[in-house]
Amino acid sequence: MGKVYNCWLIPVTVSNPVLVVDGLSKQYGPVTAVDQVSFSVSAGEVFGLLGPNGAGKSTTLDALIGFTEPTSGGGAVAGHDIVESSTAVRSVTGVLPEDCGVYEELTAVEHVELAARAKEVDSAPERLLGRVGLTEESWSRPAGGFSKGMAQRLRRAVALVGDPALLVLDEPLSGVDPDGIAELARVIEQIAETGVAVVFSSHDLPRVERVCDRVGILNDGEFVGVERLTGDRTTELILSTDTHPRSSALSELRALDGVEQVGWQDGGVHLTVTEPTAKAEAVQTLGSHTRVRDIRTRERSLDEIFAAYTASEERDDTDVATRREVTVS
Amino acid sequence: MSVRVVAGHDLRRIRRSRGLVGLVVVSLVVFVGGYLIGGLLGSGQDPASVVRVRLLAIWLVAGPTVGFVATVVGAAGLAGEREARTLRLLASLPLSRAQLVYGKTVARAGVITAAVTLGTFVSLTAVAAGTPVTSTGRLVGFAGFTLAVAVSYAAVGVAVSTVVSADRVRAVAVGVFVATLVWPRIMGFGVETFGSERIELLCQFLGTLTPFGAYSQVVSDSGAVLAYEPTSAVLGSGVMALVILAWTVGSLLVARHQFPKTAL
Repeated sequence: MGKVYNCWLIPVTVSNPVLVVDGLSKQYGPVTAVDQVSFSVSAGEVFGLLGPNGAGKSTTLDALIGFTEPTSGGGAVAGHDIVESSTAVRSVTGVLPEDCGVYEELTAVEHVELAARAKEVDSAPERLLGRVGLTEESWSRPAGGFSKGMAQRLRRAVALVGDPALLVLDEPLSGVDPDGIAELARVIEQIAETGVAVVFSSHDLPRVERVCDRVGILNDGEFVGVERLTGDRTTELILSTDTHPRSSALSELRALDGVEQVGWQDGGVHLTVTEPTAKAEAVQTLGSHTRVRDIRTRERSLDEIFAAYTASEERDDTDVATRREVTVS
Repeated sequence: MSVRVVAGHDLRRIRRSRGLVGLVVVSLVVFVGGYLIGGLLGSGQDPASVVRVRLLAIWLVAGPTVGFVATVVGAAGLAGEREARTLRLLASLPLSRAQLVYGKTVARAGVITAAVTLGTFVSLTAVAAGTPVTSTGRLVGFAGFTLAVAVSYAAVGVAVSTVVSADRVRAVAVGVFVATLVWPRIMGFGVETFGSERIELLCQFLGTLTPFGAYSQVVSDSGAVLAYEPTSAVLGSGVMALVILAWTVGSLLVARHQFPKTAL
């Protein structure tokens, strides 16, 4: 059976969720760092948690892995409650914390062995260290002499110990050069292909776009939206017409399932379409009112999506109407 | 099991950083130094007095040093991880906060114990060898209480590191240690000031309520510095052992309670 969450979401059905976050809130005294955040991530999916600095991304991730306790709400990772069983959560989760060091006096192999002992799994450090791209000669060297990139690779190897069901990466792109980002994107893709759910936070939108299947947008501690970046991605449909259609035609378009925003601009009707099937219906509907001269589609960039969600501080009633329920089966 | 993982990990780090070697050197210097100073002070006296002076000197030199070093080493366990930004890496593993606290305490107390054991063994063996009149029981008690107080201060250090922010840990740890060091002396003024026997006994007892106070009451010479004639059971070695144990257990409970609230 599915589980229902109230949140700012386009209608998405997530199957086999590895991670479920349900109404998670965190208060620091009078300050609300995170307010009623809900989302889920399925096996093999890469989910990006986006937002400006201070939006609540790290607090959300910290709550998932037991670094901080939520004030209310909660969630589960592979069935383990994040509050009641945070140790069990971390046993099935690989974590790459933000701004985290390595043990200067320990070798790369010893780092992996430590994680393996803690997770009570066979370590196979060579396999993991090779997988993250650390050269063999570095495996037995103290990590204190590692470059920034090597240390990052080592932390990645530690996170991958025990074949986790969920990989949590907090700001993995910060301070990484373009080559490193391309490599990280490739690694994340490979990890996700093995069925691992990946969640990571970032404020670097263009780079996130290359990696994520879906993104959740946080702003001022509130979860303001989820967007799919692959497959049935939200697109802008532009239908050029000779004349401005009547308002009744625009109302009919707005009433279609999978159509979110409708407006007239520069000789065309612009629609935000969240369901692929809605495009044909929209053309047909508008065609019954006026002649459609041209049909164009354009995928919205993550920058545009982000701006759309975070631009207005106050959401009106129409926006509230877009608050949907997501069924997780 | 996971306490063992944390303790083993911390011990490996301490070994690699040559921390254990440093502690052993400090321990040997202060214990042997105390022994030698005692020898100088007691020269020319009868054998029993020489033993008395040697033990007093060892207590006076090694006791505060052991407490100080143990507190700082204990405090550095979690604070050091925080400073090196490795605490988040360690905490990202399936280890509970309690396991982190206990593991660190076991490791830190372990290295202190190893170092102090060597120092006490060398110095007390020298005392016993030099003066056959020495009571073996007294020497064993001296060694046992020295180790116990070292473990207790290591636990105090760990507790401080869970209560205070990383940048203030060392200063506060030293402050707490100094407070426990001077507390018996402050109570000593009460003992000297008040005439009433009951108040005098109360002040004597209150003075033993720190690890160093309890340790001094047992290993220092009765009637000498910071040690009173055990005129009541509350000044006996059993109660003093309980005081030191209470500080150890209490510190661990504080650490266990506070660490989950600490920002990583």
